[in-house]
Amino acid sequence: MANLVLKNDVDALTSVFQPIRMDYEWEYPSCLVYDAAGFVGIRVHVSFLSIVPIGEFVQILNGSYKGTYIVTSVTNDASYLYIVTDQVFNGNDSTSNLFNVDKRQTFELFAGYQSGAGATVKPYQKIADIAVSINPITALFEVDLHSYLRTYFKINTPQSGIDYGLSLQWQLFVTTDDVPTSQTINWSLTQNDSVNMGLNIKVDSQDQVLQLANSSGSFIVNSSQTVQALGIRTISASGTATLTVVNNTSTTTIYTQQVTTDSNEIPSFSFTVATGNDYTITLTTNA
Amino acid sequence: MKYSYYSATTIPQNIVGQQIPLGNIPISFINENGASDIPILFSVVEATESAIQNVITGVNSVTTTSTENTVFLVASQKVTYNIIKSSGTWGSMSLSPTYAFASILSTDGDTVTIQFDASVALSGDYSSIDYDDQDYLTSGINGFVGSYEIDLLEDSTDVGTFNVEIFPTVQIRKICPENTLNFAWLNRSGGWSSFALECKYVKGFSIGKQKTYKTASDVIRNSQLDEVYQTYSLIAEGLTTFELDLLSSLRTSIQAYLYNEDSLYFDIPILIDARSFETYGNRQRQPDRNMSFNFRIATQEVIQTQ
Repeated sequence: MANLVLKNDVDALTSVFQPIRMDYEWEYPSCLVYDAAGFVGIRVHVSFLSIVPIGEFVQILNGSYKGTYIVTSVTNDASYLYIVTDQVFNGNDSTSNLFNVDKRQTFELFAGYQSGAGATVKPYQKIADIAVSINPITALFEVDLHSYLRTYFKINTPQSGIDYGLSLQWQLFVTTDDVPTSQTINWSLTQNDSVNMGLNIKVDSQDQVLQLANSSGSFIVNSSQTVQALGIRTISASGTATLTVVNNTSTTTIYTQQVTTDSNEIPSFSFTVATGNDYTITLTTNA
Repeated sequence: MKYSYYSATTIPQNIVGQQIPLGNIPISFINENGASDIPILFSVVEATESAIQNVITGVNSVTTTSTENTVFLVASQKVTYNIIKSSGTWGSMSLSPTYAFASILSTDGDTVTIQFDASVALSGDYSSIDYDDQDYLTSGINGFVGSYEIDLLEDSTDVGTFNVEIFPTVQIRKICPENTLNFAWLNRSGGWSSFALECKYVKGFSIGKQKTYKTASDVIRNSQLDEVYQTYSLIAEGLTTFELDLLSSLRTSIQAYLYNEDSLYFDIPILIDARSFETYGNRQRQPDRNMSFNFRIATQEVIQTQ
């Protein structure tokens, strides 16, 4: 799943009558134009796999191929997604190197107080769904929040004490999926021939992935489901194995453990899927 | 979490939990006849939720059974707390630690009277005429500015706490409350400011529309008066630079109130006539340092019809 990452943050304290702009960009925005049998092919990061359907539009934001094109076919390997378009190829251009999916990206703005007296006066709730197209000049999704936030203010007669009418806590989330409660888990098993290991992933105790050879893939889970990832030792051999779980949304490694395969220890980790978070589970073995 | 405020200006990042008013620093007003304080309203950003907290100082005395109190003062003000014990009588009372501005005046049965007096004179200026931040903001009348936690001890046992917040002022003005209109308004920094303006003013009424009719004997009479409001036309003289600057922000405020002597709150909405607003002499040595403007009480008067 291609991620949007925060490029420019706003100050912790902001004025609601001044611009409050947060800028996002694709985590892997670069692309390479190639000759796809006479048509323009665009090679991008494989994370775009699930959001580039055939028949939809994609964009090249710069260079001589700057424009919007229809996707006619899509293939991928472990690293790249290869997009073939309806545009006739006119030669290589290394300056056409910024990619975008021609679709507005959505954000969810929550505001209000989660606890204390403010939770009664101005409760924490979603106040806006915001859809933003990319700025083709900056290649950023520029989200200006001040007008949305202003709707949640109210001037009251001045009284002593905290005046929740004049202040506001808020958070902005990227809506990473069409279905907000679904998340993607990418997985891969990179296996050295001399070490025979397997990767097992369970979702709510039900087998989801059982792989005993080099492979990779992804599947959809719902928030609050429990995921268990473990390496399975099938044949005793010398070497090591490392199980890694990464939260792609915050790009944080939430679990990593290396064990020797001739020991009795098998790396295992469980976690609960958080709303709006995507994960990558990897088992890597080395002789 | 991020935090936004109803401000038209950029919010400084270091004001959370600090004694920094949103907008102009308040001016301290005291009663020239009895030296009592005049209510002052301003706003700060508190630390717990980074929310706006409105502070009204200038209350002369507080009587309460609570032993946990937060005391707000602008430098030069004082307040007396009468703490009534819920049952029984107080023993030997003391404060810890001791500060020059905090003292126990008396202990009488179930009532202990404690005074916080931030008007204790120190060296320095009290006037803004020769404003000098070297001796004015950090000493003199602002010598006690700061946050203090003072324990109330009964027979050396901790029985309560006063959290005392003393805010800075740039000026003290003695005024006659009888000739004063006390304004509060939302400033461009997203907080409230107030000013007890000693001024000459003329009260009247504005009438929007009137309908008349003629009687059978050709006498013209009013049948209806619409949009009737109380109006004030005022002029204030001899204002200082700080006062002119503070008052000029009233002109651009979208919400303003008058202090209500009956309810003891700033709860009378008013509408400033911005076109009538004049500021003179924002330089100290200019001869004219006057201000005049008109406003009306925003609550429409009810008039009978016929």
